[in-house]
Amino acid sequence: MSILLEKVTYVYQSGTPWQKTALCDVSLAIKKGDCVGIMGRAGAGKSTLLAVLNGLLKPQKGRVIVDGIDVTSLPAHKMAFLRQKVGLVFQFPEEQFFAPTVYEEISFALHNAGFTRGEVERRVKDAMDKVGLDYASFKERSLYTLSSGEKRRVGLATVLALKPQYLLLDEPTAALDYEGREKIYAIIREANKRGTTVIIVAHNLEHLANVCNRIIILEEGRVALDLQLEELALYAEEMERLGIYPPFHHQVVHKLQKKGLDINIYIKTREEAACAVKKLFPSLQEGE
Amino acid sequence: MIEFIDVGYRYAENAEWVFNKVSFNIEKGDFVGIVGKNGSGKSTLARMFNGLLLPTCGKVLVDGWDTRSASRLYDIRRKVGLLLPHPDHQIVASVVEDDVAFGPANLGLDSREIRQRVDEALKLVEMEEFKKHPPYLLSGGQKQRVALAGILALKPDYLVLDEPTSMLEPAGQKEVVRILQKINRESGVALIWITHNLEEIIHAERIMVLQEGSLNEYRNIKLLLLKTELWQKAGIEPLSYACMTELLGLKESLPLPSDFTAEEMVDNLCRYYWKR
Repeated sequence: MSILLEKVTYVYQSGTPWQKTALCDVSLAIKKGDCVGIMGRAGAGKSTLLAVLNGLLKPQKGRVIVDGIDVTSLPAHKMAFLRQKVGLVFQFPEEQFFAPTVYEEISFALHNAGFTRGEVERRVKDAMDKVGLDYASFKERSLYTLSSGEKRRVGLATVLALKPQYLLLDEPTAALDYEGREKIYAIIREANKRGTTVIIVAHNLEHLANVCNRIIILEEGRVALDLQLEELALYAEEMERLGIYPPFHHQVVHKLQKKGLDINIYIKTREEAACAVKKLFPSLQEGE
Repeated sequence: MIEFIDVGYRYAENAEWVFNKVSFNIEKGDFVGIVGKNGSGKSTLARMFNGLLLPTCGKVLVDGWDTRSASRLYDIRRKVGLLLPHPDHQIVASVVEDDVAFGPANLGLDSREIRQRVDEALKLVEMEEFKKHPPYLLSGGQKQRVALAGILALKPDYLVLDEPTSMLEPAGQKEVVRILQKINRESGVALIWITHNLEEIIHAERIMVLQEGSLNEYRNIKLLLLKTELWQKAGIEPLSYACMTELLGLKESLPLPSDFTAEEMVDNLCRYYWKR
């Protein structure tokens, strides 16, 4: 089970003087269980890619295949099925809130999807539990009384309640503080552990590297780099050329290697990086 | 000088204090960072510097003028500029130079003076070549610089920056940070920089931490920036440099970093451990 993109091209305002190619011949395979970070400069095609994946935009060329189904030729009335399978959390989801209470906001899509009352309640409870909002104390709360972090988590819950197999997130932690961000990433990490395939568009690789196992960098509508987490230090210079800064610990091992030192640069976490550095400088290990 | 004297604020009479008994001074030319997690009262504090919010108790003086004195309000607002997080919330005109001219025009300055101020301000933020552009076609960082130019055209002595980069992408963040630091260095405008990103304020002379309704002031911040626990407790993400130093168990005998970059860490490591 996977998402496949085959030579996908999307052009905005095609045939007008303002035409702009947002995606150009993009081919990608995203495996079940992956947690993929999508990066790139403004206008590189990140948000367009998400919209194409959940059928909001139909590519002019190429095919998008989700679990064996070609969604580019899916008739309009079958789209609801796709959107349940592939959930998309927009940037600043709280800006689209319209219901008076947390419960009504999260249950709206479930009612539309035709679930029974009992099932709706079960799913709202479950989704609120997943995002760490206590059901009893939050369900009747007005959305206006929530903190920005809580609002963002309600936004996530509205999509998680549909139990998507694929979860797409556009800048899920934009403008949140440290705690708010950590909570959102913990929720995403948990969803991924339960088997949900996750695709996140974000600008800060330092943060993405804490959840993702794969990083794709877009440049002018094409895939410029497609890297596993442990390859970031190896491609540090190529990344910087694309305007992306590798996480601090990847930069450290990369720069040590550039000094001609024999260091393991295939590291994922900060802890692994620290381990590699300590091997290089044994006096650090002994604590002197 | 801006003086906060035993300032407290609450939004309603029976509400909890957002903060209370806050006192500090800011001199012309200072670069002061203010950090705190969401809900700690940072933006409330930001709005007290120029009288957008008035203290519930205590007082705020700007060059000796009380922000509560209605007759001095416009003088105070001219001296203390406020830059908000979202560039789109503070741009009013459809052409860059018109937007920058909006403030000076409202001061009733003559057109030659306005022209000069607009040109100077756009030069400071390095946006001269965009002066005829419509703002909506600019990137986030460029728009934020235009908004900043609009404030600089009023020739403020103090700039209050309320999370000036939180809505920008990394490239935009970097350019806004660089420009603001340059303005502080070269024009002597004081920066009161509110953020939850420590990286932006590593060059500040002081950092004030808003936590549970009170404000603590720290100097010697290069040393403090290495202490991850202090920041974590205040709900602020510690610098990557500090986290890495901690994981490596590095002694404080290493030289204090000045920019906290990976490059600096690597240089320090090599210099100190190669010799042995």
